[in-house]
Amino acid sequence: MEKKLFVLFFLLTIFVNIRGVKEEVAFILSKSFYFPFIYTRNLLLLLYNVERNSIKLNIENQKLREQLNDRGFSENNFIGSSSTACVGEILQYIPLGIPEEIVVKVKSEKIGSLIEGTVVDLNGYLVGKVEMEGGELIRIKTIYDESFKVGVESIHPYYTGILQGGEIPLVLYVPIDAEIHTGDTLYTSRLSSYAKPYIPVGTVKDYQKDIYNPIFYRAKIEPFFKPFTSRIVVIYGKSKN
Amino acid sequence: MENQKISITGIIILLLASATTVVHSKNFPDISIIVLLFLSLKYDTPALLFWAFLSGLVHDGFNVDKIWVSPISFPLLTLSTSWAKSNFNLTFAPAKLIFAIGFVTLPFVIYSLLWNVSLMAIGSKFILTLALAIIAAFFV
Repeated sequence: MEKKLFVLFFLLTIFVNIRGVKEEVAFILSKSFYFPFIYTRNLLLLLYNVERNSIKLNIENQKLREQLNDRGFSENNFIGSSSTACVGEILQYIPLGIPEEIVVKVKSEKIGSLIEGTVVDLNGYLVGKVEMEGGELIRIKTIYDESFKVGVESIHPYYTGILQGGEIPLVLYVPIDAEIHTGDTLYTSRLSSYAKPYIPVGTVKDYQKDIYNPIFYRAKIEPFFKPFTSRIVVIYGKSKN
Repeated sequence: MENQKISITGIIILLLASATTVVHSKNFPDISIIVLLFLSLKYDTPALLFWAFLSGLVHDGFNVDKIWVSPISFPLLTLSTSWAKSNFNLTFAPAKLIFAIGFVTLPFVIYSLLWNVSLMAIGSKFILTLALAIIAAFFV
């Protein structure tokens, strides 16, 4: 009996090792088993790091304030002068696995000015863009949505590209002569009118020559933003300049 | 009834332990092997073979590029426990110790051979798993 069962499991193992079957099984397992685990881990890591990060951030902010004051600038010249910032509470992730859309509740009279605004999480990492609003609720298209696009750039070494969303976001149109490396940090681009500049987006995980367009590189990105790690996001209205 | 509840809890823990292989770091012990050792020493039922297969599937299921070897190695380990229980006196501590070492070593050797990972690279994972597996075996 046990020998028969062993033979059965052996045959089943061969079956599940067929490439197509394997990919389907991996897909089902990803959605049902692994992602909830990964999100839980992210949440625990975030909780672990949040205090240390906030202390670091406060020290950094203080230094910047002192530097600005030394140069005779007022804080108000920089914060809130050309755009509106609001805090939103996340109500829903759509779909639950890797969210392409997030529904956020905002209690602010300035909600109308948030359309096409840039959304960041509490660490300041790019979440997505405000797509539409209705009453107190706004819908955010996240960087995991395939139709999401934003200009990005690496500062050291400098190069630009277009981030295209997806389960694994890609950066397209990186010039072939760019000194791209795995681990480069990408920020929203100064050249893009689509989002506020210098918002951290993610790191380069892998890159290769774009087979459809050989004068460019195509890079895979590990986004900084991890869903299910916070219930709050910060929304910056579209800059007027 | 009480026994059934305990075995169902054990099976759920086994599946969840397998899923942790996706989120843990390189030096984290392979909890699924420890839970499997504990369950197969505690229960002797053909149903455990099925759960071992499923747990093996969850264990390897994130690595599409690698050969999924756990769906067969986990039932094999369960069968070998059942065989060892009927042929050796596993209540005798040294026998249990040797069995636990073999139980943990076998899957690690298979992974290192089929996944092209050196045993040195997963050395700390192996040692931690082995230590916890021995503790778990003596709790049965």
